[in-house]
Amino acid sequence: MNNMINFGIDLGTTNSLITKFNKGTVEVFKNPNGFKETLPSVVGFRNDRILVGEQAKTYMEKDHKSVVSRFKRKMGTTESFKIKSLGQSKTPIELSAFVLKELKTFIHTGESPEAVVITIPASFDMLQSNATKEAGYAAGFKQVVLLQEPIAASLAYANKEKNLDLKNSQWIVYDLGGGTFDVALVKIVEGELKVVDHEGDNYLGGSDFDAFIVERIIAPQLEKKGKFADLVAQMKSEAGKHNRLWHYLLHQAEQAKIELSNKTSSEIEFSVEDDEGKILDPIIAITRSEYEGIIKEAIDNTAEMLKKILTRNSLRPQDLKFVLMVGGATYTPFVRKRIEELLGIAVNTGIDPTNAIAVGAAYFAATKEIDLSKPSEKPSAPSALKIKVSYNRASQEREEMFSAKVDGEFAGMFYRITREDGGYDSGLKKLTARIVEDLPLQEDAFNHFTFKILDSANNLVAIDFDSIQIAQGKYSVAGQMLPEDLSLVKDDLNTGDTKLERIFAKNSVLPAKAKKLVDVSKTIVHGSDDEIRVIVVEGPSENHFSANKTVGYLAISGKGLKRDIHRGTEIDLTFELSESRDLTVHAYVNSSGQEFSQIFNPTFREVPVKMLTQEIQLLETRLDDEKAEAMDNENYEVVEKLEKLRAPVQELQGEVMLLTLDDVTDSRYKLEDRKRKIAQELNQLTAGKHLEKLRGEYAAVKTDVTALVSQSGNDHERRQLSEVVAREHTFLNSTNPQKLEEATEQLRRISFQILRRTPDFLVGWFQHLTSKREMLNDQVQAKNLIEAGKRHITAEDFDRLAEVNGRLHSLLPQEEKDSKEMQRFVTGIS
Amino acid sequence: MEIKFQVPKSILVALNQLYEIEQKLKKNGDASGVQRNIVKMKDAFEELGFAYEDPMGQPFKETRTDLEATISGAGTENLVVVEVIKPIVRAVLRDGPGEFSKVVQKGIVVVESRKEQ
Repeated sequence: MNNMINFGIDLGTTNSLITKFNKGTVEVFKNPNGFKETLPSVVGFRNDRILVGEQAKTYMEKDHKSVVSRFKRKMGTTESFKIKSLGQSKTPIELSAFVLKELKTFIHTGESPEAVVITIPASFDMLQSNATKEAGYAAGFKQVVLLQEPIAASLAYANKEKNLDLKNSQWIVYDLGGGTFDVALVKIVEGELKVVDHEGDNYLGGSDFDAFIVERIIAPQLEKKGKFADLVAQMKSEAGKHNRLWHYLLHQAEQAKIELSNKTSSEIEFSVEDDEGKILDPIIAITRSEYEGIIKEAIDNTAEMLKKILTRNSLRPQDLKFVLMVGGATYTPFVRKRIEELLGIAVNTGIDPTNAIAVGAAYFAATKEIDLSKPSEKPSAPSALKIKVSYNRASQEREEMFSAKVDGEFAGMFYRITREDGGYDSGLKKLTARIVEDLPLQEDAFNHFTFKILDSANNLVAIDFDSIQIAQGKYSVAGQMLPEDLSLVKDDLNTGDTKLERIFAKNSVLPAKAKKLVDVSKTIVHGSDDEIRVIVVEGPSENHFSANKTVGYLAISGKGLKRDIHRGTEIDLTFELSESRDLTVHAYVNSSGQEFSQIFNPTFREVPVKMLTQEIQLLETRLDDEKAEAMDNENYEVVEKLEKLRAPVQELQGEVMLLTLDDVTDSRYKLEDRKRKIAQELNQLTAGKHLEKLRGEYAAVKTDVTALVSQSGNDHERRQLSEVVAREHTFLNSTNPQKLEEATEQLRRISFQILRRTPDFLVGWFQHLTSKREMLNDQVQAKNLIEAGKRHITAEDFDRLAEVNGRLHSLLPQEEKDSKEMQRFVTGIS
Repeated sequence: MEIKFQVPKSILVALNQLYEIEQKLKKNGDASGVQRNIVKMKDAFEELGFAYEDPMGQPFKETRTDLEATISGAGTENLVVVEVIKPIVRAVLRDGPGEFSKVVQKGIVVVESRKEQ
């Protein structure tokens, strides 16, 4: 198995693909830039670079003296293409080799295949076939096996439909691609697939249909909406007034064409200025029947070619087993329908028309053994190259110059630089003693570039340097770092306490900006004294908020509101931290459309007396709770230490009572400092305990859920569980209780998902709701529902029981539904 | 860093639509304050790890691989983006120092030679 070729290439006229057979399936490799399966078969030579594919295609029409396409049709001829920018000619073989080499870069598995199957059209003669082989060798393959495209497509189909019996049968492969049309009669002769006859049109394909849409549907409608003289000519001419629109509409037409494969109509909208300077914003509808009308003639012509084959071979349509459709343009339902209509036989669309040929090539490759007894060329031995590079590691510019000095044997070699995010590719450039390249940088990011040296067959040459790293923008300066986390204080609806949500992490580079979307956790009546508090604290985000330093405080009081804000309303919070660490908080209340902002600077601390009083009270409550818990656990050492904190807290309480709300002295700051220190001590005494408890809780829940999932979970739930377990290391060792809580909560949700399907749970819930019967809102309805529920239990109809439960639940009074959320609110946001 | 992205097509469709809505608002005004909702949706997508970039007005060269460009007019030098059919979509990873991103949808644009001043 390992000695099979396995790699297949569809070296197409307009697009090429590369595939690999692996353990029974075929993978179609994707372009690492943009993730498309297809590579346009276009090669360009611009500014001493060699560009292949999409980048070259851009310049195809405009710079046809330096960019070449459709060279496949010239394979095996003596014709060569003059390349203006090179001042020399390139043969179709050389150009094809560039495409093949580029396809090798799609292989993400790190393999560098030496043998490959390459497909050729049925029409290729010996010379053309040999030329294709040569191209393969020139691209560095040592063994090239050719395969006819219609056979490749048939193989793809036969491998998909395993039960297909093709013995003694013949069929047609109808290949209508982006720019070419081929049709072939395929037959099994003596157990082997053979192309018996073929026809084709080198200049017909899907891209022609896009142009038809613009010329024959859009342009006439546009001419009715505004004043245009000679619109189509003005669009199609390079110097024309509406040339830009032509290209725009071609793209839109292509989209519409794709949409029309599934829908009966599609719309194109755009903006254009007519000859009188009037701006038009037309929305032009294209119906499927209109589209079919304009391509009918072209499709009928393809059917004629197909009929020619039948006549030549004295066949009737019913002698054919099927017509196999390949090529992107056969996605159009009309193409299938029309061919069926004209020939009276079924067409087959069982395979992906875009990659069928490449997939078939891989299936074929899987049956061909690697035989490297006749290597065409010796690979160039890697030479010891010495490379000295110089560039700025940090930059504020959008471009940086990279230069390198190369020593050693580098004749015939190339280099190529690519940016890892997929936004830049230098193309292949000839390696010279000194190279200079302007590298464009992504803003505010670490830019990683890969530097590769390649020999003439596109094989990697080993060098001791391969990556260029340049930090741009904020990462380029040793900017001020934030010394501590900044966090937002939120109410924790589960514990009735508060929790911290990190806004900026420690060591974030300033300036920084962050956004948070929070929910209002209690209703604030407009005009009232009640308020929502946006509190920002500095210090580890694992701490309790009272242990951190308050650095920002923004209160939104009922007095300042235009209307009531209800519980559940969203507030957009934006936090901006300048380089000098001024913190600006903006709060936008969605329901009232009001915006509140405040700037805090580090020299000015905002500590309202009202909040301080409340915090100190809260601190005392926590102290009591913790002490009671430690007593229960007989942890007398902690009890004793906690007891020692009581006196200072009470002292604080007394002092804060003496402050007036508008106290102007610095007493409040002193008190706040003292409060913080006590809270920190309290935290230290209890933090470990809290985490320990959470870990225990997690372990217990995990055991339950694991048992439950293996008993009655589905695939989705199994996946969810293993996903949580897989990242255990991130939260079990963490000092952040929130992460642990979240994981436990996730497990609980999984268990609830399963439980809510089980009869026991549904019956139990029903009984619970029945016990609340007295307080249900509509007694008559409740009675009926309860009776119905009992019947469903007897009948074991649990789906219906679930419905009854849902309806009973909705009859519960609001406060009962919310009972879990009855609690103290510190901030009013969650 | 070899990362394979399998981006759900619906994410790209949603981002492209969002981009179009944003463009329409820019053109026709935003009387109802919809831009704020757009920003919020963009933030939500960013949390999922996806963001789009509007390449309008940016220079284009043959070395740019985050754009699929069609050249309008005769010139092929000093090209700038004059029409955006689809924006550039990046998958953004915020792990470790700095940001790492990868283009998951090339911007589809029309470019034109910048007119001499």
